[in-house]
Amino acid sequence: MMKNKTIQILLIVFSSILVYLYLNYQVESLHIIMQIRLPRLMLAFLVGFVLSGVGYSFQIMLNNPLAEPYILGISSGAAFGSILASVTGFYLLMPLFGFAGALITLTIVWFLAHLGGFFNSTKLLLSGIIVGMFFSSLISLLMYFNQQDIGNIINVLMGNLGHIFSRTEWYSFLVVFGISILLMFYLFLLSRKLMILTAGDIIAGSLGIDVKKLRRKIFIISSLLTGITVAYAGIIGFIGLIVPHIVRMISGGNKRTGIIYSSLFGAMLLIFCDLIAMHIAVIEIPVGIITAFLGCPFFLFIMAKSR
Amino acid sequence: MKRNLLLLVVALLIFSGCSSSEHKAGKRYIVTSPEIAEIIYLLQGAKNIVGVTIECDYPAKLQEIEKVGNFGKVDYEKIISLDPSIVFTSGLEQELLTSELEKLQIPTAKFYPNSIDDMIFSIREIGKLIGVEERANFVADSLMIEIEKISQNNSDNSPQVYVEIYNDPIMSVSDKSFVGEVIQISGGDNVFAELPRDYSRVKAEDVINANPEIIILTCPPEFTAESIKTRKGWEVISAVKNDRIYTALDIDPDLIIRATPRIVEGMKQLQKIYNDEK
Repeated sequence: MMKNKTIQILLIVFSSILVYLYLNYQVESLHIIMQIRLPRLMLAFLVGFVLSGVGYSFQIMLNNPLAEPYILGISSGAAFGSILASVTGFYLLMPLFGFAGALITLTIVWFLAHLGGFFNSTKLLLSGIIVGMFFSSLISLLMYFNQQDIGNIINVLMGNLGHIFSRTEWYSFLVVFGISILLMFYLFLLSRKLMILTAGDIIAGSLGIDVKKLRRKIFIISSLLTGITVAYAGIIGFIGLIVPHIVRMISGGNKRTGIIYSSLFGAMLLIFCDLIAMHIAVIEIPVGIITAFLGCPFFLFIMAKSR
Repeated sequence: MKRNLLLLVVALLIFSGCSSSEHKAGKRYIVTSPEIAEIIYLLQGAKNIVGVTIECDYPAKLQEIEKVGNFGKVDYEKIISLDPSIVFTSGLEQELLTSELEKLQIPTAKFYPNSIDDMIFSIREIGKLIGVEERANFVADSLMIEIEKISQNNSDNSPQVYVEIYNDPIMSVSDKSFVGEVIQISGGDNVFAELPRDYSRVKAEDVINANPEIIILTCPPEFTAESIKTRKGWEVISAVKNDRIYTALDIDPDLIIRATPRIVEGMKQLQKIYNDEK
């Protein structure tokens, strides 16, 4: 118990330093901190928070340690939407198109997973992967024919938290931010039932849990959340896969509060990676590169320690 | 049997030898770079140009010529079938194209002017290659004079200029780039004098810090001045406050980003923009 408290305090101290650095590093003007850095911090927080939480719930819901928020194809659909908007000249509508792409993918995966009358995690996984691959091929096609927009496409495919908001877009983002946090809380509330699911579908069913309904709920909420992150920040790999595992290794297996820790830790890790992505080179590096580059050694370290 | 086979091989060799030596006589140019196409057209008109890429759109006459692909991807079979005497290529994505064509033993000439001096040099070289050396030298000389005149015309106070060549991620130009040089010669002061690359990604916060007096967008025309003005945090920039954002509708981006003699017109228009107190 004592050890737990110390870890919590340490994490809070680290997070505060991180946020302070993120906002103030190499900048004096308050205007820039409030208008550029703070929005970026909020976006990084939201994306890390959502991806890690969704990753945690997906790994349990699909009963698969390789599951991550992008595995059900939502990210490819959303990225396709964003890229389509950019190559057709609707730059300013990229988040909207991205979210629409996520919704369309969600619907397709949903129907495919219900083909043949019953719905289980294997079918959901397969439908998601197939639909994701299909959209990936469409992305490649757009890339091939629109090489002049390659900078923009790389942003979507490798992640970019430096989204430049217009003022109206910013207000809509604030609303989206609020909705996302609420949805994440709903996901946290579902985590008690989710824990029972780790004992297997039959046991969970015998305890009075409607397993199918629970899966559907998690699938829809998580997909919406993932779609939102890809719409604003592109595809940022790795966070959603590794952070849940790290949290599990540190806390020792699945816990009811694991998803909350996973979300918070993911948010901080992404903020840290973005801080590095912004400043380490003379040109900003896509954050998706940094997450994997730093995350992999860190993951191995934790894995070696936890044994 | 063996002898027959041998004869067959010899015959095949002879025929294949014939077909490759059967060059259609005369000058047949394929141009894959819009800049070089403009220069060649200026030197000798559209004659002898048998193939271009989709991007070669100026002067309009070039659009009627057969297309061999686009800047990033050409159809090699089409190029071979047009039997060119020279293929004029450019840099960037076309580095690969140039070496591929050399493998196919098609004569190439690569020109990728990245400064005014380089452009003038290229004009003379192209003139030599296509046999209009005299005219090329004349064009080059008068260009030098024109550009000299423009730089002497500059007013004393040079405005701070931010050029945005791409909008997401936002990208600008350094003084070493062609566009940067054009901005300077016409009397502007580029806010991103030094960048890690000639054309490089920049940070929004650096643009706000630099506080440019003039913003020039060379992105496609869908990207309006309004979209810059409404960017969060950009309202404090002088150019935004004073409504001095110039888009593709105000100045044709090709006039300042293409290394062609039209640059003189581009510089003149830039000078007007600098002196234009909205």
